[in-house]
Amino acid sequence: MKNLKPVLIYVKNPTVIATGIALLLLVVGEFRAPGFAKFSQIINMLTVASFLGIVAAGQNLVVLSGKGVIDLSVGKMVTLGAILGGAIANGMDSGVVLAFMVVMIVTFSVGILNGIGVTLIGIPPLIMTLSMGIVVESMSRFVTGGLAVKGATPIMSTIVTGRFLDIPGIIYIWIVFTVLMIFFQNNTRFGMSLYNMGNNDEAARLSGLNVTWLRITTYGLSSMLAGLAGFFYLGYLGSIYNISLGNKYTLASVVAVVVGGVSLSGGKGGYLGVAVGCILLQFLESFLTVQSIPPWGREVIMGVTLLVLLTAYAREKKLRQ
Amino acid sequence: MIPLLKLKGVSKRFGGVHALRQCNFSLQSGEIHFLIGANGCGKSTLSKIIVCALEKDSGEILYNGNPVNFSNPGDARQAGIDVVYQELSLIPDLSVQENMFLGSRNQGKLGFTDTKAQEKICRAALERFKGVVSENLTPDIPVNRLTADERQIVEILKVFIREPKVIILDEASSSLHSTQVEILFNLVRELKEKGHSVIMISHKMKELFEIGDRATIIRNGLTVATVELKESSHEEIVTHMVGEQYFSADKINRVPKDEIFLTIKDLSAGKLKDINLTLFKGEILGLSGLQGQGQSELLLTLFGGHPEYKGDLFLDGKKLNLRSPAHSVRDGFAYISGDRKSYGVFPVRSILENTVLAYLKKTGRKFFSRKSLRSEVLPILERLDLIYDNLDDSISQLSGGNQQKIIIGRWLMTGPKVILMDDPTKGVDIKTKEELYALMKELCDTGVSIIWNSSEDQEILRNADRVLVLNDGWIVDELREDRLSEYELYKAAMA
Repeated sequence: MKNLKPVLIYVKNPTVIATGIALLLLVVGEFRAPGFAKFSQIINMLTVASFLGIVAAGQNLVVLSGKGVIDLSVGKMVTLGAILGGAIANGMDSGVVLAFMVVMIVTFSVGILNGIGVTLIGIPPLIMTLSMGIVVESMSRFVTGGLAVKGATPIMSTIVTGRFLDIPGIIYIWIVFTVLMIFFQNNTRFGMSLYNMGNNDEAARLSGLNVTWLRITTYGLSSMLAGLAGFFYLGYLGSIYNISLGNKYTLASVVAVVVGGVSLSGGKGGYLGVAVGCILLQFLESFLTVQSIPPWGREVIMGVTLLVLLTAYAREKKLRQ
Repeated sequence: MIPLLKLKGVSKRFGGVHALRQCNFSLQSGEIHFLIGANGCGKSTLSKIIVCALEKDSGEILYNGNPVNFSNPGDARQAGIDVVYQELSLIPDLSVQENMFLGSRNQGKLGFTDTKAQEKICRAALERFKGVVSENLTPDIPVNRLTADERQIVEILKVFIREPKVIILDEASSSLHSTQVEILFNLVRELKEKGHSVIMISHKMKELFEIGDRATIIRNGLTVATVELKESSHEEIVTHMVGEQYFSADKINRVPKDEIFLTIKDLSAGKLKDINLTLFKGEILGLSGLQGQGQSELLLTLFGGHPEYKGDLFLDGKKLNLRSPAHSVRDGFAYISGDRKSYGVFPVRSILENTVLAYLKKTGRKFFSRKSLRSEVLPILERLDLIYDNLDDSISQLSGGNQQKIIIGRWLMTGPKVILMDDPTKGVDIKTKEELYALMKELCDTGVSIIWNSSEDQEILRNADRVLVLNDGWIVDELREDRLSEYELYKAAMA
């Protein structure tokens, strides 16, 4: 039995579980609909997952910082990133850099406001970020003025969808991004601080950390990453068809974070698990699509998945005590 | 005469600790009886057992000569025994009147509350304290708008309006002003005249002799003596409290350098009043006295926990500004609490992470490789004689003592000048405790100074170079050399 222990720890690792389920989905999908696990099909699924991957990274950081904080404005922020980017670039490659900068600064600032509301003013995170989401949606509406915004510029499309070795640019971007995130979480003081304060806020403060400032900045990063995802998403879509295009990312980012083994009470769970969680969710969604399950049915399944996972984790927590 | 309340051979254990051992206690009708003893001797436990807020393990309680077995404080209240707790039990958003009648039987017909009648009683009760509380204190004001002393008064009146046969006051006077205490004592005397009895837990000798009839002294969970206060003295009671005089044969008098390191001038913050002290280089300065007299608050203030403090502080000649823990860390303070769970460890994080955070912050390092961190941590952990498997193991796998060593390691990495320790050996095994004392001395030999609050009188008397006794936020005495004894400590602490 003793030899089993390391194996068991490995098997109980959420990242490993999520990877296992993702592979299982591929196999089952291939059986039910031949071609599901084809290379090109997998690449397509990964391409779509990459946007969620960037959004969920922000959610990952916010949740890590503890005290039950969460960011439910990310979906609207994705939309804002896309619309603002499109409007400023106005279809011309020469405007892309400016558009990128503006999107980053605006979304970061809005996130800072979220952070200030939650930490300094003491508004519950759910209320603060949901309300901010509504404000952000109105901002998006204001930018469009009700009219169609110019779509992605050629270079934006090329960066996201242009292929090298049959793999679109966004996947390379996501891989680099993942490496950076893992470095950030493991090898920077900021990253380590998030884990520690998420674990014990008071002890972190007494170790000399400015936990309030850290939490505010983290909200800023979360919004900015959502804006970044939106900016890339525009490149992928080519044009904006709907003001609610980013909405699905709000719940999906929370589910991905939980699937990836991040504790919603903070202080636990790294980005590798979250990235795998995003892939798993995309595989699941594609699988359900192939199974001809309508969009509302898919949403039901997503919601139920989250509830089941949260129940399982809540139980695990009880067992530990 | 049959005593009104009698406890025979009452014992209570918490895990392996005997809180009470075969306690005997008797209370006569119309008597004011004090329970006194040193820190953690079991006074509060005993009072909680009487009303069954805690269940006794063995022993017998006789009330009016009959054995009783209450199953909760409500039963005891029905029988006429009621407590004014030290921790406030009021509901902040409810009004004074609502709080006063919470849990009492209805004053009206058909089970409805008669708010008019309640208000009348409430006003009459508050009338007693007129002049010594603000005009604010009326029946309809919510409790959260009252000051601490006014809340305590409401708490007291809540119990007094029920006129219980036996009333237990657990340090009820500690947050009151002297004029308010006068009125409380009048209320107590009136009850006494009506033939009711009062059990008081207090640390103030003055009160004891002013109003008490008898006192029972508890030491280490044993009821060691019951004395007639008319025939007793301050000295006799302190002697009962501390027992056989402890002479520290193994006490080695260290000689701290004659170099002033930290100066505190007229520091006031929260409970603290006009604290003046100097800390020498390489000195272990103990803070002692009864618990909760401002010792923890002094340490927290030094660590930036009371940014609105008043007073001047100088460390190594430099004027300090204690705005936040981050500032204090930068100035060279370190803070170690005995409440590791709340203030110390990051429970699911690794030993490595638990050791390096403050160091990274203080040195301003933003990036690192785990490998280099490891090599920086190792010498420190070696110095602490820490036994562990792997630096990546979660800190929760270690014993309390070893966790505390990690926290010490965390601060040693920052090269602190002054280490603030708030009861650091709480929940630490004896062997590790000895190691910690040795470590403290070793650190001080290298020029670090320590300010150390401890609730264990023995350890601080034996290991500190100098002990300051705090009482109600003031420094009331300074013990050194042959005055480092429990007798002197309690004499000062309870004056």
